[in-house]
Amino acid sequence: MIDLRPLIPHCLIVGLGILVVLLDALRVRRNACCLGFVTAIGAVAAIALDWMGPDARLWAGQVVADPYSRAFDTIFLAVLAVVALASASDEPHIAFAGEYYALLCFATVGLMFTASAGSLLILYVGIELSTICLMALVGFAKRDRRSSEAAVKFFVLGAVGSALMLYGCSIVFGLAGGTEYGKVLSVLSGVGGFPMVLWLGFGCVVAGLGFKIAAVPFHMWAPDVYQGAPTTITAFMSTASKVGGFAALLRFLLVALGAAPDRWAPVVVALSAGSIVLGNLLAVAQTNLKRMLAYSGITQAGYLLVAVAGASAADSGLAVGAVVMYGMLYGFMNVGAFLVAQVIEDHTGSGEITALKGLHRRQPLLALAMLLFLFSLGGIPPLAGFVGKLYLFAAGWEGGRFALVGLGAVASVIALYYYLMVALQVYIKDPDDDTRIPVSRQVSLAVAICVVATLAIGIYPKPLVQLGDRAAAALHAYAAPRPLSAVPSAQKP
Amino acid sequence: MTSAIGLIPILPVAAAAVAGFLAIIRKAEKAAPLFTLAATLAAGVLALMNMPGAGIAPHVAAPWVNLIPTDAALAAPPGPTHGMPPGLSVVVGVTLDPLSWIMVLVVCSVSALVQIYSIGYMAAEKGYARYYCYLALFTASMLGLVTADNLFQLYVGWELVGVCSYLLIGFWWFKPSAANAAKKAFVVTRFGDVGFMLGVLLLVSVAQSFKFTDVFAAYQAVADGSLAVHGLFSAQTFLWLAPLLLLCGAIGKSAQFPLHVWLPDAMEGPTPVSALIHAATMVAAGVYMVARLILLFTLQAGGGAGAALDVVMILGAVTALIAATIALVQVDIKKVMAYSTISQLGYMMVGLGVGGATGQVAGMFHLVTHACFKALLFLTAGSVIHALHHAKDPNDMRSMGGLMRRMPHTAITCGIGVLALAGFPLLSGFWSKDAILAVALQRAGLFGHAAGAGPHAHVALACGVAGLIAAFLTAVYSARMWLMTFWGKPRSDEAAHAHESPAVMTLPLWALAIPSVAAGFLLAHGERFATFVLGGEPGPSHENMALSIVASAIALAGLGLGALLYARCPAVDPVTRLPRPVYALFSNLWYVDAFWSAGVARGSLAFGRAVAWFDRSVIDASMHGIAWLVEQAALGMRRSVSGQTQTYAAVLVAGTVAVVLLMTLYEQVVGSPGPAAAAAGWMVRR
Repeated sequence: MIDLRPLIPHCLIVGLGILVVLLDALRVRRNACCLGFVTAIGAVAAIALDWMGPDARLWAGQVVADPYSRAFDTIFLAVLAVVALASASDEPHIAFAGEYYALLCFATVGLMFTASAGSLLILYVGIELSTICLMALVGFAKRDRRSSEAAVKFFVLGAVGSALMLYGCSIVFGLAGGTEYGKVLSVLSGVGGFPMVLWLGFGCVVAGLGFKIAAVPFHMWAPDVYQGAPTTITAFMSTASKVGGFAALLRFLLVALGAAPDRWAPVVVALSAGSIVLGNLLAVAQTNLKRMLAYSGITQAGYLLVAVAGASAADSGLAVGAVVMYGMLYGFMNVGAFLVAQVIEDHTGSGEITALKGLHRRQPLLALAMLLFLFSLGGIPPLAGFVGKLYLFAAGWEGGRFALVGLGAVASVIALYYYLMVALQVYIKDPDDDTRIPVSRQVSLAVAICVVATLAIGIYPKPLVQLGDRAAAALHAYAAPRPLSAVPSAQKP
Repeated sequence: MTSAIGLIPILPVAAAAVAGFLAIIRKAEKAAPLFTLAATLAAGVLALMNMPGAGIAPHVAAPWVNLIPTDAALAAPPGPTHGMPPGLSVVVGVTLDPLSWIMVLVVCSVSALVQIYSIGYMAAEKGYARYYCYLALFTASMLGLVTADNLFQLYVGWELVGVCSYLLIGFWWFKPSAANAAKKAFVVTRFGDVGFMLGVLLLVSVAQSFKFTDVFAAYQAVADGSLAVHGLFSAQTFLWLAPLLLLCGAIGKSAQFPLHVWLPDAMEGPTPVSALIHAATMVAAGVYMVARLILLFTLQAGGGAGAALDVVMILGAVTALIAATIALVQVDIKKVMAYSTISQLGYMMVGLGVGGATGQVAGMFHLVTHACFKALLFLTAGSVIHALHHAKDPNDMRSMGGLMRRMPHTAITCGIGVLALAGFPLLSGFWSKDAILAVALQRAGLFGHAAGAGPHAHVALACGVAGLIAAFLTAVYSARMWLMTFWGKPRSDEAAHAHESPAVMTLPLWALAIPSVAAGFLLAHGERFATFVLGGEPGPSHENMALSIVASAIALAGLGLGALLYARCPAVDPVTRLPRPVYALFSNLWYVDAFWSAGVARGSLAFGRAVAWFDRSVIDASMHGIAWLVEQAALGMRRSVSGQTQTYAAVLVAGTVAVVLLMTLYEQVVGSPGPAAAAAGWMVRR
């Protein structure tokens, strides 16, 4: 009998998705905003349940529940909760509100499996689950042509990415005789050698994950899709979905390919450098806030890859910890920035950066929040983004990626330019009209959570550092080669 | 309850956040003092409940930044560290040893009284909540500074109080003079802070730790020769350079000669702010820092050089003397007090300059009593200015006079403060000033004898005598200030129709008047203060009847001379009848400001213009070039983002191919093929 307790939170979120659809269908929405709250509460409950469950490896290690996966689960669920909360105020205005939350929940479950995946099969299923749900969500504003365009683009490109990844998986399965990471590792480090074409498979998998994290050159979908999608969905995609890609990438590279870091490390360095340079340059040229944030997100993926490039199977502690940390704080600060963008877009009908003109006169607290998010994204102390970037670059430095860290440092300066251009609009420019911008209570609460988290993590990062350390230790323990007898034999289907 | 002391700096921060929130939404601004006051009082009560006992210092700490890998499972074999220290670890916390505890009480009590007073003083001002936000932020920063047990936290607090000072001096930012004064204060103290930062970095680079105890131990080890100093400096250089760099910070922050020029200008801020920041607490931070790190100054003296303590003492004496002479000729009531503060801070430095526990106790004792009576004096000045705020220049003592009858509470409490400042026998200033003069002169072999390491005897003698002269001048200008303000007949309409301030302002005056009278005796009696600071062991008594009589005589003579000259309210200020060059020297502030603005500032500007030219035509031009390139590249690439899904998909596939090629061919192209990889090719087994 397999102990399924580690999967209780996954089941809870699936059940939550079904529940909100039912609630919506049964018109239990007396209080018009209840579905969002239900989802948020369910997500928070799932975080608690997740940490109460036992560590386990299910189905011959195909699904792994350990502090590493839980740390990432926490990020996804926290983002889910904040996004659901922020969406709640729109509930009365959108059709199919129940489906909206249900799809969000299912996407989250997919991400949770991505973080837990111990084989390429589960990895693929998790990624597809989340991506397909997000495709539907991107096109959720059906009457909006931009939204539909974005959905089609995401669908077509997602299909290409997915096909590449599946192709890679099948090559690995065919040549290695299985897709479990342990199996792959033993083939790679085995005495008999292995066919080089295996690397074709690995390369395709890395490309698929690169699509998920929107790293250059797999990034081209991101700005169009981010711009067209409903902003809350953009917030979710740019944080949870991206971090999910990193969760899978780190485990895949450090465990399955842990024996051959000198082969994948150059790829990571190239992806990182490309993302940092291109993301930055293109962000400078943007006039649309969401597009700018999309390119800035590509740059941020580049920063995260600096730490990944600094990791190796022997010493991944700092890198894994840094990625976990940054994933969490990036979630809060980036979601916060998108939520502000949404408020402005809803009110003014314009997604341009200039729509934020004189925000401090029209809504001083929201302006302050935006300033904090921008400063945090720019990496200015004492905000969360600074600590996170410090750890990322420290990990890259420890791993000997000095040039990459230098590039990241230079890029951070350029990045300040486009973040501060937004701050300039918010604080220095005078507004065209002085009317107050209304902010619903639900969005205020969500933004407040993001502000508090951005400040708190920046001022006292210790708990998050400890979380990162735990995750790193768990991954290290998972990657450590164990005697064969300790590995449960694969169950025949 | 010990763990709760961590809240001491946190509570005011929270209150500052609330006040800031109220300031931003511009609602319920009048509620701000409730929060800040409650937080300040709570912090004070927490400290009172956790008084350090003999050898026990309540302490809480939390690791803040830690880049040292902690997990044993992850401990990799130590690799190359690339010349960086093995890791950065910073601990923040609250430590209440006697020195910190005293400072916490001083800060909390003065801050609370100033906040109460400001309810009345600032009632009609715009930005009420903003004001309280800054005050609470300052209180928190100062508490963080004084409760630090490591250089990092000390430095952070040091900079934060500087920022708060800047914000509060420039509180009326729309007045150009206030904005300039704020800028001046910030820039001038920066001169010292650079030295301070270098000192901190130097010490930390040798000690590899921020903790005071580690730093002391490392310094001792260097002095013993058991720890080598690597890098630019020899051990000898390190030993004298480190304390002097730290002293630079104190010179800036505590307004010592020649960086004292910012403090008189800082009087542009609201007067309660002057009382809290520029009299009682922040300017004392430099003194506190030297007292806290006195071991660094003294240890070196033990090595035989004594230079650091000599410098501390000489600087203090020069400052005390010069500032006292300037205070003598000022006509702006707040400027008199500002120079008086500078002079008294100089006194504290003279006390610290004696070195060791003796100097520490003497300096800190004067810090505490001075905080009481100088805060009191500033608040009374504020009360007067508040009453005269319709006058053209409400600060000008020449248009005051006769306020005694109109404002009795202010006049009497101010009189108490003036007498305490002048060192009138048995008031608080008398005891602490006496203690400083005693330890200084005993170091010189007069009025007893001092043992142990310390400054050179002739330095101590000169400084002690300078202190006596400054004490005389202090008494004279104190009497002058009080008589010009409150005595005789009103010299302007506003003064004739002035009204006493409301109770919310006069009550804090009385609350400060009591310790101004009694604190000195209570603390000096039976060496209570010294015993507490030294953690239970009673220090040797430095009381000397002969010296006390001499000091009293000097104070009384000074007060008498002042009364003689000013009691009849002469039409022409007698100080203007000083010999012409002397008066010119005093009223031109000893030409220190002129030196800075003409010599340093103008020189810097000329240099700056040359640099600016280079900057514009070479650096900026190239930067603009780079920016232009970035922009062009960005625009060019933006054009490449066509929005065509086919293009995107093609790039995606091309990228995948590139990744696979990089993975398989990297070794062939770049790396050195190993024996196994040499045979590697497509479909070739490794």
